[in-house]
Amino acid sequence: MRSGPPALFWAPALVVAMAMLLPPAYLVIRTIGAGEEAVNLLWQERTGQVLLRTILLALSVTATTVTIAVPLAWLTVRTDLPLRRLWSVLTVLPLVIPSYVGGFVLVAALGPRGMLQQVFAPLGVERLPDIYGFPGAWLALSLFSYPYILLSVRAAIWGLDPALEEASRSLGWGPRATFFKVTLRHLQPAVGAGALLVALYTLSDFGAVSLLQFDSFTRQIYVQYQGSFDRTLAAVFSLVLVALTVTVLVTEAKVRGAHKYYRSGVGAARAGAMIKLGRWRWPALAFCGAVVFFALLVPLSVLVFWLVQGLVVTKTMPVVWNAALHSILAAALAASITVVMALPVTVLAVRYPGWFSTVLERLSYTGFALPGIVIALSLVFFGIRVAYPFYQTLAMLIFAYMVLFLPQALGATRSSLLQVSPRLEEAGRGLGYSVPGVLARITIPLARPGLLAGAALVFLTVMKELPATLLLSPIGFDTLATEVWSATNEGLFAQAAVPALLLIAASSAAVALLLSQEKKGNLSKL
Amino acid sequence: MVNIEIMTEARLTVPEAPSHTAVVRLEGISKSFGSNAVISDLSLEVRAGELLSLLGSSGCGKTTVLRLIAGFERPDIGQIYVSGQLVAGEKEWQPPEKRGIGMVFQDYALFPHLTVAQNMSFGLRGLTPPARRSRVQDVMQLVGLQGLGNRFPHELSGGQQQRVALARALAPSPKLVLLDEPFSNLDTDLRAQVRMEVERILRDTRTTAVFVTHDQEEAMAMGDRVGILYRGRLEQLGTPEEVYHWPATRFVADFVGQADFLPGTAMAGGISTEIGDFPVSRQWPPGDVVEVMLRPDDVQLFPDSAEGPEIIARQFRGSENLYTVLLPSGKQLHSSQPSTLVLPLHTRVKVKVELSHIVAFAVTPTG
Repeated sequence: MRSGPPALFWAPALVVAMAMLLPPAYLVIRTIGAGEEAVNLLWQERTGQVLLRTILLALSVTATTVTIAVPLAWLTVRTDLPLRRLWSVLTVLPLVIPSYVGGFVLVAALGPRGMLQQVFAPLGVERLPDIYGFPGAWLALSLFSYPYILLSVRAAIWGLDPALEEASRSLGWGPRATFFKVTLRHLQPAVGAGALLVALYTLSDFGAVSLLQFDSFTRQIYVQYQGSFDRTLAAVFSLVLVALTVTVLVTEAKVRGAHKYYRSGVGAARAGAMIKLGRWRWPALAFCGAVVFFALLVPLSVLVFWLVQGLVVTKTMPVVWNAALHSILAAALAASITVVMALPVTVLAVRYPGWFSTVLERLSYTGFALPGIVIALSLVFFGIRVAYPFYQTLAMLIFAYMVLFLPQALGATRSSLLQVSPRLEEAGRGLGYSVPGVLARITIPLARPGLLAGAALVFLTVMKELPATLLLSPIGFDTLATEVWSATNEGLFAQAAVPALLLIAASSAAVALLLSQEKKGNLSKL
Repeated sequence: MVNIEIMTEARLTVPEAPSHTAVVRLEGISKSFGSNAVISDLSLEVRAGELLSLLGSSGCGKTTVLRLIAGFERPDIGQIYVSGQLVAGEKEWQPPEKRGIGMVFQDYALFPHLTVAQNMSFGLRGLTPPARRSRVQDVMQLVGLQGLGNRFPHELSGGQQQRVALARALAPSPKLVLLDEPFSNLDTDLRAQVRMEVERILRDTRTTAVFVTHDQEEAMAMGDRVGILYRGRLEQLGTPEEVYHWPATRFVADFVGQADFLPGTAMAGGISTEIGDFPVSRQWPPGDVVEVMLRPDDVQLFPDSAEGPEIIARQFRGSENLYTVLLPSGKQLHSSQPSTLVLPLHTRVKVKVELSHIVAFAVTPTG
């Protein structure tokens, strides 16, 4: 016997789902409102150029990261690489560097008046080869997003049943043939999933491409938003970008569906045999060392260099207290509200499965497909046209965060709610408590660790969010993220160092949390 | 005076093993993982065409024996010969793919990215595509999976997956097939049926096979010979009848079938116990403490006097009643009786032991 879900759950869930639809819906309304102009803008040559550039960047970053990550995963899991454990930690760490901090590092190291130029200045070097544009964006995104593929492939190697390789050996295939016929085939879905994650990350990234001035969609949207009175082009670009990300997501879902590689038995899990590297040990070490050097050591050294520079020149620590306070305030508000909003959607999906709950839950994942800059822009439109009193208020900013990070909160609340047995809730009902009573006395207390983890995750992710903060924060409301961005844009590298280091700290905590939860699907929102 | 009667008959005759050739020979194999000695000085031969079962509890090293034969592990000491050729020794090493030994893994290890037919043809190297197809057809028919060639492994039931795994191992016509706990992933209902099916296939194809199990019923029912492993040592290797009736060690006696061990003292021509004297041909130094093995089906009970052993428990097992009898010394004996013979608890009985032969073990000072 199962009655329908009580209004206590479905009414707020419906409101949340509708709220999620607001940004994309208004974006469409705004574009249609522009009528013929929008169509003309869509078909102009420039749109095609930006589209090509964006796709080119996504493809090259994806290819580069696959090339880096797959050998790294193999070396750190299945070989006798010296200091294997250390490498396996170090190679994942670049994940904690937000893309715009990566962009800052590149500009601060290699840009005009950057570290390298200062070093060569006494020799009369005035200008270095330009890192702006494609090379910079490609380098920054590749260096800091390859860990997505690394993690995904590594998990797949761990999950690989060694009996499969043994079966192949006993059927007459040697180690090399077995590697290509069996092992690699089983890593393919993981490589694909990670690659699509990187592609999505590249498409949505705003920070690195704008700091490095590569005209992909996200940067162009921002430039159009800032520089022109008519923002129709920004709206058109946003819609094309959404079409791109949705294509990537749909491809991902299809690929995943077609290649469900089940382990078709239970069996005791054994670790696979270790490959002895022999004299290949040295090139392997050099490879790992090079990746860690460029993706971790260089960024950290650059940050420390500019931190010290700032201290020496100004004799005081650049003031970031205000920005830190703003970041924490916004993140705390967003985290609590997002988790509260996630709860009814999750309860509905977990306890009252059906088409209605499924639709509401799917809608709540909208933020997953929308790049931050697109959500921010549509809320700008919405604020100016419809909800002017809310435009550039903290409430609007928090709302944008909620749309963006609700999927993260849903992941965490869902897994924690699945741990609470419905029998316990039924026992509560049997002992005389109403639905809200049971929720407050049984479900929430039992699910609390997961809910808190979800809140912490949202908190840390909001801290480093850039595009929505840039477009929607109230005037004068600087955060750590916007501080890094504007300081880098103005070439005040010393000023960016402290907030950048603080953000890396927040980001490290978020990554640690995520990895402990092992929510692979959530990685793309880092 | 205790009511006891002991009868012994002439030694049971055991069918002689046919003359044979060894498909696999292990000589003095030892294998350790770290400081953990898994196999110690193990030697055995697998004869052409036989089904050899290796029986032991978990952790006794039985799977390691298979992995050593297959070539997934390398022995620390000792040699392994396949068809008379040295494949593993101090200086000699043949990798698994060169040995021509099929393996059915405990969790089947079917390739999830390949269909049933593709799984079966995986090991068919160097055949023309038509020859390969026809061989796949043959093995598919052999295991009764016609028409399922285009399915993927996860679309099959557990029993079907098991048969695909067997067909895949048999397809390249290996010299020997190894089966690692082949039925442990199946439901109890299905297990006996699949077991008979697998045995039929192996016998029909005259395949030499070694399989390991922790289920003694399975080992006895399927194996032409049974090897009992204990802590990495081969305790005994013989026909099911031999290991049941003539256990070589106290461990085998206890592990295979149910047994009580009645303490006694060796004397000239026999063993003296609390329930009477047992004549034995083997000479123990008089005065030594020994134990006589009694199977529940050797022990008969007759309700009798007011004195004598007392029934303290009855376990109804459907086809039999298993009685526990308390001897005056406090030692307990078990007796298997027809399910129709119901004796109330606390009945005093006369114990009658009918033995075809007597098996006794010296009691080691350490116990």
